[in-house]
Amino acid sequence: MTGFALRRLLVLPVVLLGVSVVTFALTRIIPGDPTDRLVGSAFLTEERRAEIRREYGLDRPYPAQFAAYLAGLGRGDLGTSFLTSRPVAADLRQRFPATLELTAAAMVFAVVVAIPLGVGSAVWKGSWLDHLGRVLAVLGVSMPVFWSGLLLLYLFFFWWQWAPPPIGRLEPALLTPPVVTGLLTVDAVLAGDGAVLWGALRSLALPALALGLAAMAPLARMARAAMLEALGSEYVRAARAFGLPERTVVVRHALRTSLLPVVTMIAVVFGYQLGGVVLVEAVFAWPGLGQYAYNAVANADYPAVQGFILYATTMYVGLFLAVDLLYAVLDPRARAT
Amino acid sequence: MRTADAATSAGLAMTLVLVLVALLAPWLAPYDPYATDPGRALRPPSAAHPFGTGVFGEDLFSRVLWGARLDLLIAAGAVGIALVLGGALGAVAGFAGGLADEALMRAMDVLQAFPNFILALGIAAALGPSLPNLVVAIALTNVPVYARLMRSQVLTQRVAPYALAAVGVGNPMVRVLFVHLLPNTWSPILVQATLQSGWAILQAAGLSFIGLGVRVPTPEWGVMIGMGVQQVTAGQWWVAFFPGLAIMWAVIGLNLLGDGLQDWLDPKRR
Amino acid sequence: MTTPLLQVRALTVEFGTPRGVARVLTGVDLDVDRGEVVGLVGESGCGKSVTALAILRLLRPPGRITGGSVAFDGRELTTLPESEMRRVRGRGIAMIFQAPRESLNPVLSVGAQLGLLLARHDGLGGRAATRRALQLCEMVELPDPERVLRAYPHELSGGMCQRAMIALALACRPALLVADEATTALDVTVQLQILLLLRRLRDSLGLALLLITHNLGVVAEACRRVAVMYAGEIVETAPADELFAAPRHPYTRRLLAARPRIGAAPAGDPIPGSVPDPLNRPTGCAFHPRCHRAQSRCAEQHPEPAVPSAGRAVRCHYPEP
Repeated sequence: MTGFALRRLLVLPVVLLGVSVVTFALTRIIPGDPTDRLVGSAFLTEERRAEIRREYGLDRPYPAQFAAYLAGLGRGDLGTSFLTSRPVAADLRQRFPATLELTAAAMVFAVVVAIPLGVGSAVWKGSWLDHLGRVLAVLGVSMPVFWSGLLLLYLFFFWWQWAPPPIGRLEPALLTPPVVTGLLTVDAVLAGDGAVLWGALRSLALPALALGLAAMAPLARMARAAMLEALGSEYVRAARAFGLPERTVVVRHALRTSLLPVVTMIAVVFGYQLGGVVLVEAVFAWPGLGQYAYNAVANADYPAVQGFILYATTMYVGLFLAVDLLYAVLDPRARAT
Repeated sequence: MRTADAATSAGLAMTLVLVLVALLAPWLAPYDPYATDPGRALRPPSAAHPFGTGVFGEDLFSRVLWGARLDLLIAAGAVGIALVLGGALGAVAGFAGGLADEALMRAMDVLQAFPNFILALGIAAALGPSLPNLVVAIALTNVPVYARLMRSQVLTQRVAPYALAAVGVGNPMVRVLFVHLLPNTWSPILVQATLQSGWAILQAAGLSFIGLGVRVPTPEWGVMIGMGVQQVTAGQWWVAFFPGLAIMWAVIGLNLLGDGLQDWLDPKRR
Repeated sequence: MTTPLLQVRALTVEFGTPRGVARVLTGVDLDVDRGEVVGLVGESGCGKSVTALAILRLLRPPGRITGGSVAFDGRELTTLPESEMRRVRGRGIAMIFQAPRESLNPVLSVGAQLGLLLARHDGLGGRAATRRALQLCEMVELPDPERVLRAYPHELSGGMCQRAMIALALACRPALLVADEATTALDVTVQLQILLLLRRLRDSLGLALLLITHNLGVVAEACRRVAVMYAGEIVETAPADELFAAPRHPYTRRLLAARPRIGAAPAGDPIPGSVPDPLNRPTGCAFHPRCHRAQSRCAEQHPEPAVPSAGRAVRCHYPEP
């Protein structure tokens, strides 16, 4: 088991190095003068531009720039945002809780809906539940997440007037509770503030639902496919032949083996969320990392874009590593490698 | 008809409609997609304008029809490039083996380490917003899938008895594989391409929505949804609604078709 | 003569296919007495496995029982409600299958899988269950039972997996064990070991065995009585030694003659033609198109079982002398 984990950990730095090379290259291949992209660049003199270039190290050869960049990464320095003039790392840290809250809510929704739906679809194949599940899955997979967000906004904000206006995590009328975790819902609970909790949940509902619907669909499909495969397997046939009640067969046998592919799918879906937040936060003006990336892209704030890409990719890689390790726990066959 | 067949037929029909609309848009669209008419701005759907009008009085129905053309073009272009480039890389890796293979596969690993949309976002942001750049960005994120597919095919076929036999009587391995490999690989590649086209449309729309693809006022579905964001909170739902519906139509059609192809081409025929 | 433990009469099974209804079993008659070892032989596709699945009502659509009766310990199984049938499975009749490793859940240990059965059939848990599990492992002659109970299927050899399967079957305390090609997937030496184990279990537990196989060697080694199956029906039943010495049905005779023998010349043609398509059965006797003794009557009239002597039955108008 340790050998397995060790090997996976060793591959990690290589991949991350490759990722940083690609990310670095992406920002350096942009044609034109980097100083043009700074705010107020029209007013810069040539001398000032040269100064700025020296400051940012842009006058040095690429390998040297990359080395400096890597050294910075090692220190946790992701550069300075052109837009906010603050360290990108600080910007990311500040916005992280908002996105965490949103993504967590979306994933919880997705898993809670998708697993029973997918399993039920398989166990009662051909029933109305199966058809409903499959229709929902097809819809969820094909709806652009920013469009479903807008649709939800129209229905719940404009039409039914239940949701608050899409201007962030909390309506202006409510005060943010004292910051403990940065997660409004948790902080509200800790502060015992029911009104803020309710307000936070109301603001969270629509964007989380939009993301969650997109996440639910592939999960439900995978759960269904995995269960169908398990239910048609030899060991399930043998279990039935030994007289085990269907409930035991489904839960103790089929579900147990279906867990594995479903867990992997959760990681994959989470990967979609990393990109999806950019779109959803843009629609709902949610002050998280996605909105940060959106602003950065709109304003050609390349250090910020770079920082965001690195953060998202590192999370993604880390997540798959975690899944691999989890596999070793869940699947005895994996430990044998 | 079994549900599976019904679904595949529906997918085929929907995809055909998409392709036809894309081809015939110039003749089907009642208005020029770029034509504006400020006096008729933000009118709800009516007989004259089945999808309503937008902020500048443009006819949204015509724009959605033209959008089919653009999005299908982007998807086909992106998937096509990814297929050719990825297939070539995979074949080289499979043939050459050794260091070249290792290096290429590690490069694919690195590309696949990025979440798909994020990579496209990065490439599109680096290259700048334009139609060709959008196609390239999406294409590059899809290259690894085809590279791996092709590589595994080459590796299996290389040591297949018929290949070894053919080489044994003097045919160059390259020629043997070329003549026999392609017939064997086209089916999984076709399935992948169909499924990925749907995904490509979603990516193109998403990137354009945040301003990284084609720009306003090009009639692309993602751009059009972007143009309708402000209007939703004011109650003018139609501006953003119909382009999204069109995206769903296209993606559902392609997904159903792709799934159906997969079942049909699967030798187990379940 | 006491009633047989298992009495199958005129069992018919049909499968609905896109091309029509296939009659896979056309009237199977089979008896297994308490403590008896019966072999069911036939070529692939003759319906042996379907018979076993039908007895236990494990057939999945599009297959279904369309006629006949299966009486077990005096009870009619074909009409039992599913909840009652579940009690018969395992407890009355247990079945083991051809691919032992695939028949075990890959992510559960052998002990865990045994535990589920012991909880269900004996209501055992905790230490009592472990004790019984170890006892079962010893019964099936598994080396190092404690290790086996902790092990996962992929860590065990094919032979050990099959022993584990037998242990699972025994955990249910069945009166009849049906082994569907249980040794086919194993190495030859292991096959023999498993067969001998089954025989010993029969001796010690009084377990009845129905061994389904296409391997005549298995039958010769282990079975007291043999039923030969062709195209969905039993064409001959006889005590094993009599069958091997003097087969009456032309098909049986050809089957036995087709076995390769060291030193002997090949015994002539293999049986001409091929097994009939269940969608398109021949009229009259199912074997007549391939039979060297066939006459016009064989194409017109379906032969009923004749009883030439005690304990034998032959479905043939013109059996071999």
